[in-house]
Parts: sequence; C-alpha cells; structure tokens
Amino acid sequence: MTEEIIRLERVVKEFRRGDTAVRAVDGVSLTIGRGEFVSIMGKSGSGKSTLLHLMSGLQQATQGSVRLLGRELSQLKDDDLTLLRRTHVGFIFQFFNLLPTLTALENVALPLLLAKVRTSVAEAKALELLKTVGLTSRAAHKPDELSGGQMQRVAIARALAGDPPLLFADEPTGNLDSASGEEILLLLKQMQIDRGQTIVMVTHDAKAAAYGDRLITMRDGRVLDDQLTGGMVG
Amino acid sequence: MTSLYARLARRYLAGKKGRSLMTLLGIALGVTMVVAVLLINNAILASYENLLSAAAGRADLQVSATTGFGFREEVLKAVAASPGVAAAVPVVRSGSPVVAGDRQAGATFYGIDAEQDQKVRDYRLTSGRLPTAVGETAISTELAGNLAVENGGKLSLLTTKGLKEFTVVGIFDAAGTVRGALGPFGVITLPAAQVAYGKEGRLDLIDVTVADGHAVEAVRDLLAGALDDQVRVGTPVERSKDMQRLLDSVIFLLTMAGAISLFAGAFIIYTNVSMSVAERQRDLSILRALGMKRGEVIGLVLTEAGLLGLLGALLGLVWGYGMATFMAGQMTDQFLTSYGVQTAAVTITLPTVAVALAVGVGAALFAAFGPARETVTVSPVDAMRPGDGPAAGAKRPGWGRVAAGLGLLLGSAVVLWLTWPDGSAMVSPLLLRAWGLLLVLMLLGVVVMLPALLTGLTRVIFRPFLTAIFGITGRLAADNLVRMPRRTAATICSLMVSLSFMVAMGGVEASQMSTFDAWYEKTIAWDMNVSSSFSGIGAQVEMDAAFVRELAQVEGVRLVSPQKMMRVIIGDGDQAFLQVFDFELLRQYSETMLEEGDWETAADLMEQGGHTIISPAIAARLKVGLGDSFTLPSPDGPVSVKVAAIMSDVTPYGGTISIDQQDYVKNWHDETATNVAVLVTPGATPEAVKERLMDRWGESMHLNIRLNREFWQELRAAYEGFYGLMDGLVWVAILVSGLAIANTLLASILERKREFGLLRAVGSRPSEVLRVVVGESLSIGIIGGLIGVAAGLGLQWCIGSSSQYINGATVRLVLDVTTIATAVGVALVLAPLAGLLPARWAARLDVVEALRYE
Repeated sequence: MTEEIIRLERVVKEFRRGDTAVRAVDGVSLTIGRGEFVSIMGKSGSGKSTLLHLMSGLQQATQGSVRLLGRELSQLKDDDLTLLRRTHVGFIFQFFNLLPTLTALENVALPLLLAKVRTSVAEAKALELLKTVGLTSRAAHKPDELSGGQMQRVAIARALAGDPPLLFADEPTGNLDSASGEEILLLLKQMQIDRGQTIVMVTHDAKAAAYGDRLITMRDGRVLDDQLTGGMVG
Repeated sequence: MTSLYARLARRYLAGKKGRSLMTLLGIALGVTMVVAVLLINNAILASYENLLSAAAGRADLQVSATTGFGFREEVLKAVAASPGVAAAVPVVRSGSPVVAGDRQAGATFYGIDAEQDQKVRDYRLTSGRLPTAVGETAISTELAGNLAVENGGKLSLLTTKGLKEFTVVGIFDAAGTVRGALGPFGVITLPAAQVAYGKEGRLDLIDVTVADGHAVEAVRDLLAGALDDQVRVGTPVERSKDMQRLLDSVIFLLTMAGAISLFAGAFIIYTNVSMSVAERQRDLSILRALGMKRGEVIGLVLTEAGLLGLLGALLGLVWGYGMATFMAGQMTDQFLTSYGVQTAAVTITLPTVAVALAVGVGAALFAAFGPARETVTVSPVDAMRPGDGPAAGAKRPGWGRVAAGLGLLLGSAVVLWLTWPDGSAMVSPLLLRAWGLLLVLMLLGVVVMLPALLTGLTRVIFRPFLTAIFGITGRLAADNLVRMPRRTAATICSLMVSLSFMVAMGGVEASQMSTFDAWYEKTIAWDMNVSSSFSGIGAQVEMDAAFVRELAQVEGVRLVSPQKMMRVIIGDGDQAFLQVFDFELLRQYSETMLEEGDWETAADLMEQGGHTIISPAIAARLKVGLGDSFTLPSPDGPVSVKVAAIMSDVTPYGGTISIDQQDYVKNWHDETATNVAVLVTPGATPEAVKERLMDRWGESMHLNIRLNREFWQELRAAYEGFYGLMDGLVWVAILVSGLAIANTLLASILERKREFGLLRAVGSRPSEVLRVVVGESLSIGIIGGLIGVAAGLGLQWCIGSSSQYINGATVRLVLDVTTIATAVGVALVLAPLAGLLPARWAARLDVVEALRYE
C-alpha cells in the first residue's frame, strides 16, 4: 500500500436524540493511502456521511482514534483543526455551498484569501483552476447565474484551490442530473489521475461509487464490505 | 380556520422563544413609551383642569384678573348687578406655608365670604363652622392631619407681614365635594385674606352662577363687554387651555420621544417577522401546496404578529403606567410646580388601554404585513426546493423608491421652511403638530430611500474599506449588508432615529444651558435673593414695602432692590410673564442680556418710566419692535409702554415683559415684592448677612434666602430634572435600537447558517467568522451613526431656533461635542456589541449541523 494518509481505529460516533444515544459510526477501523479514490456507499442512515465528517475533522469521534496525515485529530485544538482543513483538505458538498455574493472566481479563491494569500496571486490560481474544470468563461458570474453542474465544478475548483492532498466529496452528484453528474465524476477521476489527488467520496449511487478504485459499504454504522474495484475509468 | 391559525402561530412562537421574546420586548418598550407619554400628558392637563373645576365648584363662569395682582373690588358690584347673574362670589387666594407647633405644611388659602361661597361650593363640615371673623379659619381634614391640629386649635399663616395666628373654627372633608383635587387647603374670611396677602381692596376671582333661563355664553359675552381690561371672563374649562398652551412644547417633546421608541420597536417586529417568514418559507409553502389560500397564509403570519403585539401591548401598558407614575413625580418635583400644578395623578383610562392595544397590535400588524405578503409571491414549488430559498426583504431597491423618499424628504423640508416663524407670530399648537407630522414624513422619506442609499454606500465605501482592513471576511461582511437591503435599512433607521433624538436633545440641552449660564452671569448679579415661601418663579406670598425698608437697615446690607414677578394676560389673550424692577437700582449691579438694543440707552429709558423691555416672543405675539408701543392691562386700565429693548429670555412661560417699578406702583397700586435682591457692603460676606437676616426674620417671615450660587444651582437643577427625564427616554430608545441590531444580525446569521458552516469548513477560524458579523454590525453602526448625528443636528437647530416662538425661551445654539461624541461612541460600540452575541453564536456553529441546514 502507498503512504498512509488516513487511519481510523475503532472509531465510534454517538449522537444524542432526545434521551437515547444513537451510534452513527460503530467501531470502524480502516486506512486510506495517498492517491486512492475511495467510494463510501450505504443507505440513508448507514453512517457514511458521519464517517466522512470524522475523517475530515469536521466532527470529533466519541471513541477511538482518527489520524489525518499522521496527526491525531482528537488532540488538535479548534484553530489547529481549522488550519489543517485550510491547508490539507478540500470539500465538495451535495448543495455546492457557494457564497451567493461572490463570483465563481472569488468563490474559488476564497480558501486562498482566507489563508491570506495576496488577492492577485489567489485570483490567478483560481482562474487556472476554473480553466481546469472548464469554466473560464463563467469566472465573473455569480452562483445564481450558473447551472447545477457548473456550480459543482466551481465547488471542485474551490476544493482544489489550496492544493490539498485530500479531497472529501459528500454526495457530489446528489443534486445533479445524470449527465452533469457524470461530468463531475469524470472530473474527479481526472484529478486523481492527473494530480495524484486522494479522494474520499460518499454516495448512495452505485454508478457513482463505481468511479472509485475502492468501495467501502456501510450498514448501521459498521463497515460491511471493503474491496478494491479497480475503478470504472482509468 | 381561526383555531388552526392560533394553534400554528402559538406552536411556532413557543418554538422560537428567544425571538418571540425579542419581538415582545420591542413592542412592549415602544408601547411603554407611548403609554407613559400619554398618561403623563393626561395627568398634567387633568390635574390642572381638576384644579380649576374644583376651585370653581358649581360656578358657570369665572371672572379672573389679567394683571396678575388681582383686580379692584368694585368689579364685584358690576358683576353682581349684571343681568343673568344669579350669584357673584368673591375669592382671594394664595399658596401659603402654614405652621402649627413644630409642624409645617404648604397649603392654598382662600379668602371667602362664607355665606356667598356656599352658593357655588359645598363644605362637608366634620366639625365646627366656616370662618366669619378675621382671625378664624376652617381647614380641610387633609391639612388638619398634616398639621395635627383639631377644631379649636391654632395655626399660623404666612402673610405679607409675616406669620399671623388663626384659630381653627371648623374642619371639613374636601374629598368629593369641594376643591377635592386641590391638595390641602383652608379658608379664611375675605377681609382677612385681603390683609394677609396685601390685596386690600382687591379680588383674585369672582365665581359666577348664571340665573335660570339665561345662556352661559350670553352672560359671558355680556360681562366681557361690560368689564374692563383688568379682568377676563371665561368658563373654568376655557382657563385650562392656558395651561395646555404653556405645556405644549413639553408635551410635543415627550410625544416625539414616545413615537421614536415605537418606531424602533416596529423595526424589530419587521425584522423578526421577515426572519420568521424566510425561515418558514418551506413550511408555509407546504401549507399552500396542501390547499391554504394566499390570504390564509397572510392571515397566519399576521395572527402570529398580532398575538405578540397584543402581549407586548399589555406588558407595555403595565410598564408605561409605572414609568408615567415615576415621571409624574419627577416632573412635579422638578418643574411643573412653576406652572401651578402641584400634583399630577396618573390614572389608566379606557381610552389609554385602547390606544396601547391599538398601537401595539397595529404596529405589529403593520410591520408584519410586508413580509407576509412577500411570502405568498414566491411559488410553493420554488420555496419547497432544498437550498437557500428566496427570502422576504431581498428585493433590490429601485430608483422609484429613491425618488419617492427624496420627494418626501425635500417636500417636507420645503413646507417646514415655508411655515418657519419669521418673528412676527408665535408657532400655533396646530402648526407645532403639523411640524411633528413633517418630521415623521421626513423620517419616512429616509426609510424609503435608505435601502438604495445603503446599496450605493456599500459599493462605494464599505466594500473597499472593509476589504482593505479585514480582507475577504470584510468583503463578505459588506456584501451581507446589502443582501437584505430593506431589513438592514430598517435596522439602521431604528439606530438613526434614537441617535438623532439623542443628539438633538443633548444639543438643545447644551444650548439652553449655555444660554442660561450666559444670561445668569450677566443678569443675576445680586449677592442674595430674599423671598418668603419661594416657589420656582417667585414667592407665593408677597413681602410688603415696610419689610423691604427694614431689610435695607440690616448691618452689612448695601442695597435692596424689590422685584415683582407675576403672570399677566396680554393683548392677544394669552399669558405672559411680567417682571418689575427698579431700574435705577438694577443697573447699579446688573445688566439685562439683550437681543436688540443697547443696555445703557434702554436702562436710561426704563428709569424715565413708560418703557418696557420685552422678549422676542412678546415682540412676535404683539407684532411690536424696538420703539413701538403697546398696552398692558392694569387695575387702572390699559397702560401704554414703549419698547426700549428686546431681551433674551430663558423662561419657558410664553414670553417676558419687564417694566419699571414706578410704572407698576403708579398703575397697580401695589408696593409688595415677590422677592428682594440684596447686595452686601464691601467687607461683609453674603453668608454672614444671610445668617443675620435669618436670625431676625427666618421664622416670623418664613424667609427663604438664596445666595447667588445656590440660586444658580437650583435653576440648573430644574433644567437638569427635565433633561434628565428626556435622557431617560433617549436611552430607552437606544436600548430598543440595540435590540433591533442584535435581532437583525441574528436573523441574517440564521439565514446564512450554511454559509458560515462553509466558511468554517474551508478553513475560516471562529475569529474570522466573528469578524464577518462584527464588520457587518459595525457598518450598520457607522451608517446609522452618521445619518443619526446629521439628522440630530438638524433637529437641534429646528428645536433651538424655533423655541422662542414656541414657549418663549431664547436658545442660542451651541455645538454639543460631548453628546455628538457619545452618539458616535454609541453607534460604534453599541452596534458591534449588539452584534457580538449573534457573532459568537455564528462562530461556534457546529460545522456539520450548519452545512446540513436548509
């Protein structure tokens, strides 16, 4: 296996729903290596999204250990976690989550600007990324002037802005028509191949999951199956 | 359907306790102010009306003096003989300190003719009888209680010649029958009162009952035609109008303060309702998809708002009552006594309750209607789609609104300019109210055009400015400002109005104080002022000439200058303040602060007699200027006086007229003094002379001596009392706008929860998220502060420069840097402070929770 980038050991995540504790993730152990494209599948409520949040440091585990790039996440302070996300992790969400007051270009540049990169440098980088995702012509447009697929491509470009070694995608095609969905998946695959990007993608769509070269299936918070699939494209 | 509305509304409100509470507070505070102001105004007027009607008893008409020092007794015969008059009852009255043993009380004493008086008033005697001889008195149970005297006991009454002893021959229960509203009082015989108060051969009042078969108006006109200028004939209610006129400016300011708080409160409601609507766009759309009509959805939203409005109004009613009670106490203590009002009882009446409910519910419904209507303009399908739905208040401001707002603003300004006093007339109560309306219209103009202004300002100033300072977080803060331009504008307005009121009131106060200080320094140059039973503007009981001569003999006294202060009714039928000085003496130690004319020349003219120095208000009322003549009513008929100068006037009594003592004595035949200015010989200290005077007359004359500095402090305290109340109102308004800011930010954060989640996810630190929100609130503070200070300065100029044509007081405008700095400070501190809590909340959002938020 290539260099290990994520390691989970007996990770448990509990939520309180009223008086009862719900175990969303129940004793999961796994490792993900650099350059892998991992699909996590499962039905609604299987714990796949929670697993993604735990890996990316958006949530803290109730029990067990989560190591991201060799660092134990439970030991990091909020600011350090933020910094880790800013510099090493990119996110792609189902609902795109673009800021409506910013243009496509500014949305892509956002993580760089937050990291205090000079505006001219950040925007040059953003433009380059928009070119990568094929949206140079829409750079000056605001999100409400873009189609769903275009918005998601902007989101991908934004996720790549800080050159993060890791990309987390939470149902990236969930809100798109099938043609746009396929475009996005191809783009992700291309990122893996061209840039050696590590990608962890949560989906409930088997067709989408097939783009990954490893498929983790979850049920009731546990890993039901973890197998190499080779990837549909490549 | 109604019960469904109520159920849905109740559940929603209960689910959003914090916000419901905020809305409730906004309405309650607004209603509190309105109710308090209403109750105070009513209490003041009612107590004065009570005072008059209680004193008038069953009298249909009252013949009263225009000259302030009674009228000749012969008038009584003329009145009694007039056709249609059934009874003419003479009265002499004075406020008097009374002493019995070691107890002291203040009371009003009436000189009456026991037999005649019972034709207009009932005396429910609990023991004894009414006085029939000099040296006898009957007193109310209240006064008897205060003094702990019984029938047959003795009390001493302060007269112009010092304390005089009276035997109590009767005690009566005043409650419900006669003069019940007057506070403690007593009666003595008419001749005794005339002697006691230096009013020999004079009367203060004749109560008239009209014979059956005669119309009151006809008898009034007949009497008015037959009697000369020294008296005025009117019904008791007509007389209370004088009071209303005098208090108009006070009431105007109070009403403005109340309206401003309500205004700010309405913004909170608007923000909250638009927030609740935006938040529930999907829920409401589901209801519509399930078959609820547009009107019904609007009905649901309005029901919620109305429910909160009702609760807020009830709360405001209770608070308002408490506040009014407190204020009434403060106001009577501080300055109302100088208008003759002793007690102002606050009572909640049905109309007050109705107004409170109408205002609370009305404001809530009014504020909620816009957002409610916008809900149903969004298609249910669009609204039910996940993601950021369209929200109320997001519409871009159009040029039409800017034009409308500008039109309102400029149109009102032009009308204000056209109706501005030019010095040839006073501002009528009607015009004053019209001005109030103009101010509201101007404010409305700002409200209407502010969203567009805000959008422009953000583009040109805030975005570059905040981006330069805070980088991308600053840029986001600026963008957020104009995402809901109307809502942000509403918040800015609420801050703006309270700050403008603060700046205006502070500025007027500072201007009035500095005018007062300048006036005092120039005008009040005596070492001490001697009076018996001092009450604000002069003594209630005069001192006679013999006493004044004795004062001059005291060791250490260099000069005594008797003065007379009284109210008179002048040519235009309204009150004025008449002051009498011996100018030959006066010019030796003091000067009159003049607006027009030269002091030395004026003083020469005044010494010659036949001249007057008047305030600008009198000049405007009588349309006279330097060198013009006008007549003053006197017991001997009209006295013509020529204007020697126009002076600055710091009293708010509708205008002041100064005449020389020789003219007064000649025409009024009165040598008593309300107060005496005393200067000490070189080498003597005022303190030592004061002690000497007090030792000799302190008790027997009930002397009240104020040293120069003490008098200054006392007058300043009266101003400060009034402005203290105003300050209180200002801070309530500011509190409300602080709530409004916190509220708007909370609303905007709730709507952008997902964006904050994203910022955190892509690497914003909590402190950076905090900066976005604080930047936003700071911008609100800056805009609200800038417009507020500018509008406040304009308002200060309006109030200050029209004041002498409203209540007669000259105000020389000064720029009050302290208040402006405070207002700027409030804007720059309050806004970010109000934003801090919502900002912290935003910064601490659970990222995953926030991202999931729809």
